[in-house]
Amino acid sequence: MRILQKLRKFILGFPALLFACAGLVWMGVTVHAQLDEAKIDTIKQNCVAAQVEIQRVRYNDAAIRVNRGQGYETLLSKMINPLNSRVTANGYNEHASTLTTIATQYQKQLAKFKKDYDTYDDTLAILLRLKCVDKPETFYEKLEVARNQRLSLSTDITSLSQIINDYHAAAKKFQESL
Amino acid sequence: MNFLIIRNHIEKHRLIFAISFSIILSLALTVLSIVLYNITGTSKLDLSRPGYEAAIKQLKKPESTDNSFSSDNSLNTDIMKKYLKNYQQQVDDLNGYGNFSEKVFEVGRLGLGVPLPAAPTASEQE
Repeated sequence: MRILQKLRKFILGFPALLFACAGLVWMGVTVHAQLDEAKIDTIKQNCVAAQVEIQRVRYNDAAIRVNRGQGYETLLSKMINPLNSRVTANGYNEHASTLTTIATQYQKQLAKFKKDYDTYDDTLAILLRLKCVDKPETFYEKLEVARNQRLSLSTDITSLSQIINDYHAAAKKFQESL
Repeated sequence: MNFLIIRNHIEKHRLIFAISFSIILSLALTVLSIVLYNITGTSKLDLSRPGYEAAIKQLKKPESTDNSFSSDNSLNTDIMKKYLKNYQQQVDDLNGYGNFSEKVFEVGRLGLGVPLPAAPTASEQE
């Protein structure tokens, strides 16, 4: 009976395993399709210099992260939170609700920005540690991942700017209602 | 019985045990603080690390003065007008801090000579 159950599990699990293997092979083929031998040689020749440039980018990005992080935190602690408390304390409940909702969105987006930066920085660290001359395909793949993660950071900043503008608009509306 | 033997042994060599315990404790606390420094992400914001000297020079102090808004007292149009002005100043500071431009990983800049696949659009990312 047990043997039959095991056999059944194997029969059911086999197609899934086959699909997973096919997926992995397909991913490998995709990267190889993009990179012919000549391109791989170019990457091997130039990737060490590229790593130096990536390191320089990493230093600059750290400064942007610290500057922006401080700026966002300051805006939240010195402007947004105090206004929310004051509007609530003065009994303007409807406006307080709107402002608090936007502030919550802002906090969520700020947390996402911080998390995305950590992920991006980890990828850069892997890229820099990688022996790219031995593993040019991996280097290329990781570079693509880093580029997409950087794009996410750019999107996060755009979203935060939008929320900041929304809060400004809501505060202005409140001012007009006074 | 064993406990008594150990206790007697410790009392005989109290100084050695005290020094050893201090060293082990300080090592454990050092390891703990380094682990916390790394896993909390603090290390990523620490620009005093070797190599980050240039990044320290890029740190900016806000142009706007300390315009903290009080969370007490009443509200009127003038107070809100001043608030919105200060808010905008802080937003202007933020806009001057640079962003994560996509161009830095362009092939020409990295000298790889191999184009990366087209980046996904914002909607695809979501």
